[in-house]
Amino acid sequence: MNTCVSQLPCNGTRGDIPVAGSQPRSPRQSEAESRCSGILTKVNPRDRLRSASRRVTDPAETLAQQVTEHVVDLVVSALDINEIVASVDLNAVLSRIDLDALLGRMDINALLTKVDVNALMSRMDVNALLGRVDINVLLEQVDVNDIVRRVDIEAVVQNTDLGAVIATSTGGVASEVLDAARSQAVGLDQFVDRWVRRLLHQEPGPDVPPALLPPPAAAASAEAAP
Amino acid sequence: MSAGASPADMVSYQSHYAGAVSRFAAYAIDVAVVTVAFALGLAGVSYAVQIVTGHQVHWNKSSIVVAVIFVVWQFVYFAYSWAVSGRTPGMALLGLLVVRADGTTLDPLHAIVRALVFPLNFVLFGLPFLIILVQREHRGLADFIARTAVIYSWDARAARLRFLARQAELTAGESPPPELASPGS
Repeated sequence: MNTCVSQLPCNGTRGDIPVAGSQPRSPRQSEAESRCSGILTKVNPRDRLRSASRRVTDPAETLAQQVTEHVVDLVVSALDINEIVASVDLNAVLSRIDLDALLGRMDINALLTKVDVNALMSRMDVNALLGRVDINVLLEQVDVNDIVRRVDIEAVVQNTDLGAVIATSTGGVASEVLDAARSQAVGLDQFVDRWVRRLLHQEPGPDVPPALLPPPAAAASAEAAP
Repeated sequence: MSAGASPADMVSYQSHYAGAVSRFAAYAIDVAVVTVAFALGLAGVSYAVQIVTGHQVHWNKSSIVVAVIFVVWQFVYFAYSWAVSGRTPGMALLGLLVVRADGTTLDPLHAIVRALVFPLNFVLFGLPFLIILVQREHRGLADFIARTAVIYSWDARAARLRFLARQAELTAGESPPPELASPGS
C-alpha cells in the first residue's frame, strides 16, 4: 500500500522539480497519488525542517548581534576621534566641495528667518570685537573725499553754529537782496522755459556748454548724492 | 507758479545756459546804466564847457550827432565790458557771463563782433529776442553770429549757504533758549 509519509509529493516530482526519467505510473499508483494529494495541499512537508532550522538560527543571530555591538563599542572606545580629525586634511576636503552648488540648494532666507539676531548679538562681545579691529587699516580704505561729497552741508549750516559764523562773517543786506533777485530771475527763467517747451512740444536742450561739462566722475557722484 | 528756483536747483544752475528773463533783466539794467551815464556825461561836458567858455551848451536829443555819440557810447560800453570780463554791469548783477559757444572764455575779438551785431536785435523789431526764448540753448541772433553763449555764473552755492545761515540765525533768535523752552525735561 502506498502511504503518504514520504516528503516527496505524490505526483512523481521532487518538490517543484519534476523527476527526470520517471516511469509511467500504474493505475494503482495513480489512485494512491490522488488520495494523498488532498492532504499535501494543506500541510507543507518542509515546515518541520524550517522550524527546526529556525530554532537554531535565531539564537545564533541574537548572539552575533550582541557580539557585534560589543566589538563596535570596544573599537569606538579605543579610537581617538580628535586624533583622527586632526589627521584629516580639511583644506583638501573643502577644496572638493562645490560651495556654489551647495549654497544654490540652500534657502538662505528660510535659514535667516530662523536666526534670532538679537540673541546672537547679545552673546557677542562687541567691545572685544572692536578691540581687534585695526582702525587705521580700515580708514586707509575709506574714500574721505567721497564721504565729504555726501555730507549735506546745507543741513550742517542750518543745524549748527556754523550757520551763525557764516552769517556774521559774510554778506549783508546788499548780498541778501542780490541773492533774492538772482534766484527770482532764475525761477522765472525756468518757468518761461518750461512753458515754451510745453507749447512747442520741444525736448529740453543741453544745459551746459561742452567745455563746462563736469568730469564724468564728478557728475556721477553728484547724481548719486541725495 | 514758483516765484524762485528751488535751492537745490539753484546750486546746479551754475554754468547752465541763462534764460530769457535773466538776460532781458540784465539788458534792461544795462540800458538804464548806459542812458544815465550818457546823460550824466552830456551834463558834465556842458558844465565843463560853461566853466571854460562861459557859454551854456544845450544838447538836442534828436540831433544826429547826439544819436551817433550815444550809439558809439553804447558800443564802447558793451564791447569793453564783454572784452574785459565777459559781462556788463547788468549781467554782473544778475550773475550772467558771456562765453564762447563751446564754453571757453570770451576773447576781445568775439566780444567786439557781438557788440557790433547786437543792434540787430532792435533793427529786426526784437524778433531775435524771440529766438532766445525758443532756442534750446537760449542763444540769440548776436550769439549765433559772434559764436557766443550766455550762462549763469554766480556763486549760487555760496549764496544758498548765506541764505540758510541767515534763516538759521533768524530761527534761533525767535525761539526761546533751550533751558527756558523745556524746563521739565
